[in-house]
Amino acid sequence: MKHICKIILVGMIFLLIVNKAEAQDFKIIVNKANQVESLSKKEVSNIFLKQKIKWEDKTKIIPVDLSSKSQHREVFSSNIHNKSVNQVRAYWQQSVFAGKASPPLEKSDDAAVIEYVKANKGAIGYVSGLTNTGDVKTITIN
Amino acid sequence: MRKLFFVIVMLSVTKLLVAQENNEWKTQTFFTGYFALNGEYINGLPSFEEVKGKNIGFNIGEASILSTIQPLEKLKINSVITYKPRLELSDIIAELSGEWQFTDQFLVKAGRFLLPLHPANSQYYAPMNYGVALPIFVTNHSLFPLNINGININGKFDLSDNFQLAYDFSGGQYSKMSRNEAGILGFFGRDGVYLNEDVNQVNSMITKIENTENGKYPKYFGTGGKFNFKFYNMLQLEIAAFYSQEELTKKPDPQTTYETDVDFLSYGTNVIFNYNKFNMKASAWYGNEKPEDKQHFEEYNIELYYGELSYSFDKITPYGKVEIINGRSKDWTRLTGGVNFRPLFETTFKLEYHRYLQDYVDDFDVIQISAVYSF
Repeated sequence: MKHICKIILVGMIFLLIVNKAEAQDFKIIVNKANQVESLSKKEVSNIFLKQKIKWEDKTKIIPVDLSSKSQHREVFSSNIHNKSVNQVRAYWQQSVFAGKASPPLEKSDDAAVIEYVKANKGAIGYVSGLTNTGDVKTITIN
Repeated sequence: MRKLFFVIVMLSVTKLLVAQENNEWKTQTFFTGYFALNGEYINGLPSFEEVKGKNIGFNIGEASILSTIQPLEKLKINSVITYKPRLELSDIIAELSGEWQFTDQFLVKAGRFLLPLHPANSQYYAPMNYGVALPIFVTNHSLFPLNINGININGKFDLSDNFQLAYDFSGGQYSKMSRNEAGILGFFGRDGVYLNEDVNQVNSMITKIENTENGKYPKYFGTGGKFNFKFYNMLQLEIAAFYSQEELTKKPDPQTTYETDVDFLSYGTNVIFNYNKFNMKASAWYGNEKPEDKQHFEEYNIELYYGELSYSFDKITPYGKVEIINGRSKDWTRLTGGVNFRPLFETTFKLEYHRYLQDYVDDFDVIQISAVYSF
């Protein structure tokens, strides 16, 4: 009985660690001049699908994706859009063929995303949860 | 000459605007495309088998490359090159246009572009279309052309958080591609011609079509547009219309030719509903062709009704369609059921079944398959 309790306890601790790791897998960043403090998942999804195109102060939103091969993009896509990267790519292919919006800018790595967000007031991106984001502002997801 | 003029104008405007470029904007480019292999089988249509000598075929269904370049924040240049069987070389350029965004409410586009009077027209490309066969609205070109070389103005107004009004108006030159063969076997687009048990009459009709068009599609000027009302990002109601003046020729005997100008007007309504993974589209359209010479030519009307339902289970999307055409000389209904399977972005597989219901020949079936590679 004691052994079983220990196993269960270790298992629970392990699950907590895994969940905490997933929650830190990415963080959303905006320019330091941006007034926004938090966004809902739906709002973030709409921004990156270009269905929401302006901040509250009417500044144009510029979403920045990571490369489609990035592991963090896969996690972001599944968490925020509830879709795989492939499904989002198919969405953009249809959108472009329909003459509607083009997909967001893609940057190769976290450093490039941070550099772009730092330089553009309306930009929003996401990076690894462990990346140093001192030059930009991190916002929370409701 | 006209195409060269459009290209020169677009290049000149682009050069002028690039000179005033905002230094912070970096040119954005996007490429995508696809390649489709299709198969078709027509079961139980003797007139087609006798005229064409076959009822099954496999071939390249279509291939396309799209590029979007945004050299300035407000300027976007689109081009789409599409190969489909039996297209004229000049029609392989499906789209080539530049669009300048003055504001969200006012954009101007010039060049060649698809005429978005019906959702089906915008679904011209394989990745846009769940199914294999294009809707009758597109293949038969009875109510409006596929694309136009001209000018377009469009824009949208956010009337409230959940209500948006958009408009889209175009004018320019188009190719009258009605009764052009489509699909691997050349059946679609000329469906009505083969609804006849008398093969001699079918051959006579085909000869008449091809002699009248002399192997080329006549070109006319037309104008059309639509208003789109969007509610809660779920429901869209559209009202649209198209008008042009065309020409008709009739040769009752080798020594006699009649020609007349024709006023063509079509108008209709489209409803589009999306909720989560469920999609529904429905349309009702009406067209009227009124010749000036009423002595030798008849006025005629055409009606087209369309309904489509689909549900996306992530990688698999089953769908069904109903299409009813009350045409110039024949009426028929096409029922369609199919499934679209896209396990990866790069690969799509489609299986589609059609049932033609009409009173001229025994009801018959068409089965299509398609494998699409996207990049």
